[in-house]
Amino acid sequence: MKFHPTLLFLHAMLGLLFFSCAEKAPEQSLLPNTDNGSASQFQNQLFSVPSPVHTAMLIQNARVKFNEALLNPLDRIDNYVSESDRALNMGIYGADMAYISNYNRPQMSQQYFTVVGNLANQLDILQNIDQGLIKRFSDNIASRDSLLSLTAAFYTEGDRYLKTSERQEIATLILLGGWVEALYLSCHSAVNNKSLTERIGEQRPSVKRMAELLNSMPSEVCQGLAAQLRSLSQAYEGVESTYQYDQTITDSQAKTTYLRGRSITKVDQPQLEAITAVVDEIRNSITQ
Amino acid sequence: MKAFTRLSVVLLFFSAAVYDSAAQCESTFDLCEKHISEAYIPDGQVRWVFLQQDEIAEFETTFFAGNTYRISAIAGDGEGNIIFNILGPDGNELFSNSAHSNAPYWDFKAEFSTLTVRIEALLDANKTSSACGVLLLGLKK
Repeated sequence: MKFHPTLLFLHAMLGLLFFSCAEKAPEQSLLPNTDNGSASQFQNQLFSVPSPVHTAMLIQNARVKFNEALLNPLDRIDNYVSESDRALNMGIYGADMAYISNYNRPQMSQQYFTVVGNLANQLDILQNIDQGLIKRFSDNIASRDSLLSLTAAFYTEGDRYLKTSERQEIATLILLGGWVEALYLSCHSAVNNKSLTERIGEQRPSVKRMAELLNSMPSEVCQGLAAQLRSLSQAYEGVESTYQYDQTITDSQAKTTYLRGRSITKVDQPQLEAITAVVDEIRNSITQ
Repeated sequence: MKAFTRLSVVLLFFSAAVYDSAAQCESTFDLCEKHISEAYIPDGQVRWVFLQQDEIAEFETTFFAGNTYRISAIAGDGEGNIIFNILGPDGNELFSNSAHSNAPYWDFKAEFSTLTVRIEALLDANKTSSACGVLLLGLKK
């Protein structure tokens, strides 16, 4: 049997394609786990934690004064050399940027955006997202709403690029950095502030979810962070929540459903202090 | 030889389909993102997953008290292919877009207190049997 040269080339290409598929084992995690039967559940594929931008808005809504001392200093950027440190601190600085944006400090917003942009550049993210977004950021530096939207859009674009290019771990570390910083800012703004203290208590399920997500990643960095989050989870152990269902009301025309169930989360002062101490420890291990 | 050629073409086609998946999610994302309009601030998290038949994707999220959130959900290349359900902390179903012609987006306001809800998403078997599903979340300004 003789092989046509074109077919040989075709098969060589097929071989390469399948070899490439076999090498990309992590992609398997995108597929649903069908072990439990037809209606399978997912392990860490779809994920959600309160966004730093949303949390920054909650802090501002709680009428807490701006505190510059809470921010991660800009000159620390040179300390972040490894890819994981850069990713974590891109999240940290992004949350700081959202916090600053709420308090109308355009010059400081610009400085933090520059640092975020530098880290994004070093992580090969900046050149792969919509460049118009960066220009819009500079053009709208004095508008709080625009800044918050653009910060969120910037991180969405970055997350999208990282997921498309299968850099899931970097995406997760950016998300974690932002979430830790938002929690850090909340904890240090919550003293004598009942509503903000409750918001911190309400993050208990997010701590668990984040720990699970990190635990599913084999790298030493993620495993170390997962262990730290387990300590945070322990600090949350005494935080109690109750829930009482109430009928929802749906306005079909407005495409809106009003959720009327009531949940109560109680956090006392010693619990808040214990949570803050662990959050400080995690945040410092990332930023210093 | 003819069978060999056919097999090669089929395998090449299959390989191309696998590699097309990421591109599929990208275009679905573009459709989904349109519903997180300027009145909303996205949460910065991209959630996409390949769904087949009656597989269910799910995640938990927190709606903070007094805030309105928008969920946008699209599967494949058109609206109405995906069903999403919102379940309360006790597992009670609070909402399903299937009761609203599989609406691609919906707003939720946590009226009295913060609620951690579970969101389930699955394909409408009458519309499609496999597709990339994208779910995005935004907070109303």
